[in-house]
Amino acid sequence: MENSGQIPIILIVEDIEWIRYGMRKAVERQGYRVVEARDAAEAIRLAELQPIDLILTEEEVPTFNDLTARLPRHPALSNVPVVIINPDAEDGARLGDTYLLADYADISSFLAVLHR
Amino acid sequence: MKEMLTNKILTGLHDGDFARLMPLLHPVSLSTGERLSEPGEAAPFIYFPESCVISCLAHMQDGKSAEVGMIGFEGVADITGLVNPQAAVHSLSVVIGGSALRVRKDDFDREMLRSEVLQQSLLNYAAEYLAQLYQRSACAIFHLVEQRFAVWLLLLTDRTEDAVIQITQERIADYLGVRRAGVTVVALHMQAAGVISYKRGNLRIMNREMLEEMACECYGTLAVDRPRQTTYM
Repeated sequence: MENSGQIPIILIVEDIEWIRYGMRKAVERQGYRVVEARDAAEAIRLAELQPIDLILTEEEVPTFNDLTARLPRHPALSNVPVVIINPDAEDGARLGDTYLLADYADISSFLAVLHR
Repeated sequence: MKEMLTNKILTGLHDGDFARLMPLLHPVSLSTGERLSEPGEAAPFIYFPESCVISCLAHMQDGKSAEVGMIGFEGVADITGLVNPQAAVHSLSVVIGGSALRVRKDDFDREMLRSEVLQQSLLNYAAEYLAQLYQRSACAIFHLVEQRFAVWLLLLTDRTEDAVIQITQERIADYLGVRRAGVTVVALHMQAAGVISYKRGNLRIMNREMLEEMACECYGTLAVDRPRQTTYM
């Protein structure tokens, strides 16, 4: 489901509560709306219920492989990009189909390029 | 020679003991990230850090690790190898590259038997190192990752005297025993507060006073005195 609203919605997938909270605060500081999931199954359920512009997760989430395997096959979610914020990542780096960005502040330009 | 050194154990030795040990000591330059020993091995060398900082890591079967002790100019890596010749359960890794003096363990064992001053100096350091392990064990149970990260940065920079640390967040995560993404969100909070800056492997402490405020009480127990005049004997 695509988001036709003004403010992009970011779905954060993270199983550890304090990391999820830190990611949420960082995303909200960039002006986005946030929904949260603890694993791949919950993420897909939430993404089916509401428009999602970007899925933000991290490489050590236990269901990371499940998430990245299921999304491209899901008719409503195949175009939703999965992003990891890693300050050590090189520009344009990828982890499989997942995009690596160095900073939460890079989400804006990433979405702009994606929708160009 | 002794006056040119920083290591507190070596500079604290009597001249005669130091003179006997000196021919056995070899200056080495250790690289950041270098592994000095692995779990299951008996380390062949003893290291007296000068400008480098060495980390003692405990390992889990799933590959996770965490730093349990830090060794710099104030100590020797590693003290457990001197006490117990059995294969170690931990590993030694260089957190910050720099100089050290290295001695073969069997050579050092012989010198240790000859010098009561050296034995006493090592025992004093062993007590200090154990105190570090005790405090950090409790710290890991009771305190938040942000507090432990602040303490770790303070312990590291006490030993390097440099506000800049060349280290990736992935390596910091290995030392703190948390996920890399956890280090990223904590580092972001510290950056927003103006305490540190971080860009691609380059961490700079911008405000040490604020960093000390972010740290838990454990830093007060764990801080090491830098003046080289302070010796163990």
